[in-house]
Amino acid sequence: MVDKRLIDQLRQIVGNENVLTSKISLETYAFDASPYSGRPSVVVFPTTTEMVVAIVNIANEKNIPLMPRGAGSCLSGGAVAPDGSIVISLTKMNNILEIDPLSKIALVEPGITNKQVQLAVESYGLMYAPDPASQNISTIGGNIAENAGGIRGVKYGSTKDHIIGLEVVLPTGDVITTGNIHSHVEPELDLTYYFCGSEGTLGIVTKAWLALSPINAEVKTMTAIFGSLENAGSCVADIIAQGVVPTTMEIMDNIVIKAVDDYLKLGLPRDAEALLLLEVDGFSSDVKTQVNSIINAFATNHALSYKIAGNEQERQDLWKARRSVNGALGKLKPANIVHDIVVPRDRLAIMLEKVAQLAKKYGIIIGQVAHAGDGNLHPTLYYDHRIPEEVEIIEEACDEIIKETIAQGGTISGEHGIGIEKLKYMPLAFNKPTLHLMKKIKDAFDPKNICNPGKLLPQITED
Amino acid sequence: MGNEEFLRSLREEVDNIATAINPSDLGINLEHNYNPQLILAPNNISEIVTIMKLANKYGVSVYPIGSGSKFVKGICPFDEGVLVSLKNINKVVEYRPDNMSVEVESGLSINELQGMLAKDNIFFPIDTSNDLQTIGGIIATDAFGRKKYMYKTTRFYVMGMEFVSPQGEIIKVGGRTIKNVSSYDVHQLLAGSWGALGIITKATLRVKPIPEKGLVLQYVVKNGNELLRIIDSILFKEKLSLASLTFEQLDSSFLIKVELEGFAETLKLQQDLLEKNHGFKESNTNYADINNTQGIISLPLKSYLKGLEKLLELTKPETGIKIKGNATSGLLSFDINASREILQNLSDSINSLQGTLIFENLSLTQKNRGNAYNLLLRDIKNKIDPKHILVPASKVVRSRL
Repeated sequence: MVDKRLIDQLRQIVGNENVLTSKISLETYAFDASPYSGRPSVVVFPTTTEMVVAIVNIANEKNIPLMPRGAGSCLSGGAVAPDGSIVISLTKMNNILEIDPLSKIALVEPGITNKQVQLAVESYGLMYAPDPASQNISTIGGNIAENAGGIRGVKYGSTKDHIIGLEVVLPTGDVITTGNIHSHVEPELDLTYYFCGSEGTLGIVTKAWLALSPINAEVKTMTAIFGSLENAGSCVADIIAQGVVPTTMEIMDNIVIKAVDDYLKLGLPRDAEALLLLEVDGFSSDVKTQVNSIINAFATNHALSYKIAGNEQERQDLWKARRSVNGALGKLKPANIVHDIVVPRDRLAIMLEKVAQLAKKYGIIIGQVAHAGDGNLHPTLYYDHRIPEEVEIIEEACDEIIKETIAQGGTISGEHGIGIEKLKYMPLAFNKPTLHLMKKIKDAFDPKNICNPGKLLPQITED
Repeated sequence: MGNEEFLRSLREEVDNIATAINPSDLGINLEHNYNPQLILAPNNISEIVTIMKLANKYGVSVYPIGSGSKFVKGICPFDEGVLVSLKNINKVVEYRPDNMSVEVESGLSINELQGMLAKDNIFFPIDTSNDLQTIGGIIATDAFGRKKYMYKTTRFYVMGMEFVSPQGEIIKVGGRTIKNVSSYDVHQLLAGSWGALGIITKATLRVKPIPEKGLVLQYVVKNGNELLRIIDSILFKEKLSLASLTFEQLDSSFLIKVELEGFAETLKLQQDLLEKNHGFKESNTNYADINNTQGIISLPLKSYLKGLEKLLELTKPETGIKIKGNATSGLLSFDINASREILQNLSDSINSLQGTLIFENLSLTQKNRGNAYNLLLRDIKNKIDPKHILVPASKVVRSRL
């Protein structure tokens, strides 16, 4: 039963128009892009830091869980509203407060989308380097909470590499400003980077100072096809070892190539075992040098053929296949699970091969796309969710993929996060003292455990 | 309290641990008011675990130390406790050139690491001025070098870490993959913690291929106005593969150096441009040390020229000011014969530019971080180090406010 007094208090803080309580609204805000859902009791849309503080204070007083939320595009359940929670949607705190082109810094509110930031800084010849596939809808606050990666991640890194400071409302209602935004000469412990990837469990980001990068003069896109996944994988390792750092290196396997070709009729090489898509950027002389090195690596690793985009249209054509993967694969079976695992880059070829073997072993379809340049694989497992035996097999195959990932020196999530989905794998990835220490630190930030409880850290038994 | 019992128990549990009374016996130079009662140089990580467990049992303070070059900057003077040198914990654990990663023990010096990597044309991008600094030390202080503009600070190269917690547990976080969002980045909390949250024992670092070419160009300008004009142009207007832009005052003129890194063909074009537009020529002289001065100013890049202008206004015979700077890092450093009024005036200006002025190791500008931040740090510290065993004299994390 919803507490009427609570709703009244919240309405006083943010205004009637910024409080949702109807059944349909609550259902809309119950879930994210994962299969999980919860039962929030109210959704609020604060527009200032002070409002966020007032909401957090009430939650504290009444011991109500909080769910800070951006666009809700999280794939691992990180933004699923806990039962009885107040969902704090930050989407109305979406202003750009300052763009400082000389220091290359933008100060923004958390509800602005990644894309809006890109558009705003473009006219200064600058970009915000992290560009997750969800950038049209996902917010900066969400990107920080999940430490979002992006297509350009091989060269530019992920969100945490481009954040220089934060304003955060802590679960206790205190407001802190982190970061060495203007100075780096006094010894200080900077908490900025501990918030990145903390999945909304340590506080609510209300402002962020973003580091901007110059847009590079030239971009070159190329694709190559290979007779084996192994050759494509070693080609990636070779390119990295030669000192070339492409912005992007994406691999698709034969299942994906065929599915995309069926879907779009692009005339892709249907018998190719692997397709590699690469992009390099820089000054035009930089690009020339890098393209030459990459062509050498193609030859050494027995690429069957390659293409270089001559103009923007050709570039978009090369990208079209990669962008259509999700749509194309949706046609194969009624349901699928996209995995998110990451291995050292020297193990990429082996890992691709191992996943292909698992598909054979279990007699299932696994399509493989990978952000090869950073060792991040997204094997997609296809099944019919209406057939219990298929569901069981898929679960078993997923567990085995995770075990293999850890055996290869990798880790359980590259960019989607732990959320709810991967809680069960945490004890495989971390020893008990480490999980205990993480819990103690969480307690320091959030003594009442009201900030997005039930995510990221599994229940651990006290010794 | 408990020092003798601590040492006796330690001797019972650990066979052959090096001890010393004087830091200089282990090649460490500390100022006279830093007086540990005992110095230990454990031979392996399990000995560190034993030390921490016993220190908790007997209430003995523990201060981890690498080369000691930054120690006093982050830690107040003390006259009790144990100094634990990491110098014997210095192995390379796992080197994966094809993954551009290397896992090392924390006592390894930056010099040894660079030497090993260079054989494969790889480098660790933090160019500290002191080759003897240890990997643990540069992570704990989140160190950066002259080329901060291009390579940022150490924390951005730490992918994984093992450390011994203040209560003596071995904690392993992060990993060896470029992307990793598997739970909290505890290693990012340890990076820049100045030793107060754990003793770093191993780190997995992201390394990079050595750029095809590096180039230093120099040019002498006659006066301050010329200096301002050239910095403005190079820092804000020209498109360059800029690694650093530094200068030093020679009498009334200034020697400016531009350091470029990248692909050879691109650098050749940029070199020609800088020669044509400004008169820069290739340089092979050494860099001036910008650290050992009375005053250091740190500024946001957008206010760098304004801060420099303020300093230049102090150029009078009676002040004898000598200015050096690293514009790409937002740093100015200087020696001066200045009155209190002049310094007050300067600190007001730097404050209004949101910068920091440190003069003779004292900060003269206000930092308004607020109490909530320090309380949070204290709470974290109290949760993981309830007996305040590890670096109780930290300037960075105060266990009692």
